[in-house]
Amino acid sequence: MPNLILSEEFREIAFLRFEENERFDSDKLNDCFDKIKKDPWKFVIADFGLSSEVSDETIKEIIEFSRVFSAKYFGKLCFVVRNEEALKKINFAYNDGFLKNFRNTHDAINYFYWDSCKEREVLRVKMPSNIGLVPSMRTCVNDFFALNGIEGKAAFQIEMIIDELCNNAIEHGTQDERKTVEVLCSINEEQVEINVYNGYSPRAAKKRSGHETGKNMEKWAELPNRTENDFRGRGLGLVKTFSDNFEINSSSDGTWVHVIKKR
Amino acid sequence: MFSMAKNSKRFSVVIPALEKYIPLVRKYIVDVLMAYEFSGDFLYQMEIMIDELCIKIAKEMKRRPSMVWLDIKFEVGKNGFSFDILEQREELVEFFSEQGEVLEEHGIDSPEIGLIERYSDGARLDFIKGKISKVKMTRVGKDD
Repeated sequence: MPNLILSEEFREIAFLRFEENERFDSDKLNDCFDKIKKDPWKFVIADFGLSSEVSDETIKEIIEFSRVFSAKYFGKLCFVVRNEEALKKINFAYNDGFLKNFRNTHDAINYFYWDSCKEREVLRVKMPSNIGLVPSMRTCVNDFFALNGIEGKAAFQIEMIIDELCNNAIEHGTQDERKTVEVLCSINEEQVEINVYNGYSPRAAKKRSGHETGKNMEKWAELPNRTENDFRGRGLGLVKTFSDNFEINSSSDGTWVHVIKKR
Repeated sequence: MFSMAKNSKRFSVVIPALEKYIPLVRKYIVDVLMAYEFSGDFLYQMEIMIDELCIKIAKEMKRRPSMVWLDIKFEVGKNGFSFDILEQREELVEFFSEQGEVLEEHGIDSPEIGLIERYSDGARLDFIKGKISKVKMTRVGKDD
């Protein structure tokens, strides 16, 4: 009868694994359900694998359990069924509705974490502090957001933000390739987050350039250069305009710029 | 194995271990190599090798993004390029092997691994139960 796998790695998921074409055993199945309800787990994957024979009683018990599990424990249940006949049978029992089936457990796990938990996707890139590497970073970040549905005007604005922040991190930090610039991006259904960090002490930057990085950046963000023939000093103003939240954090470890853009 | 000089340039990319992100990594590494004026042949071969390796790992490690990452580190030096994919956690590989989801067509003897061994100047691939857990690869020279 089914084997209940409660893994340390997937703390919110209970794997109910059925052996191929095994016989129905109500007591053992209900024993598994009791264990699931006891803890209680948020997500159950009923894995029938390639099994072609799924008994009517088993399906009936699972349907009954999933009703209680959803109503009382706010949990979800999905299937992993690879055999077409077995899938048809389960579909029929569910009246062709409300059934989530996946071809393998990986996809079922992904479904849980992405769709149910709304987890975000993250990209982290570190590169030497070299201005010539900014275009490749910009393309990489842009590709990442494009894969997650950001396009058109928003994509252009994000490209500008990355370009400006990376150029600033290098230009006003250091152009020593032994130092690094780090870009950390994340995206979920609601917003895009961009963090750019240069890991270069503001004190060292001040010594080199003669001005204080953090304060100066805030000034340029608030009051961009308005001199007609001067082409510099507008980058941070643009970043601020394109973002919904803009924050600069300067410490002895370096300077972080944190940008949030709503989708 | 050839080792990189001390003043080599270090890069790292961390992404969820999903196939959809592999072209992005491949393109990024090639863009960086182009910026350092590596030859067209070198780039082309690197592109194939990175693609094969990363897709292979992503296929084997396909699961939730917050947990399994492709942690790729690479170095560009005067005399070549080195590439590491950091070790995946053993218990995860074991868990999925127990679940009966080993992708047999992507095992140790696959043609992709042969390709990487042939074109690199040093390659070390660690496996757990037929799945890649760690990669280290080096190529010497900007021209081939």
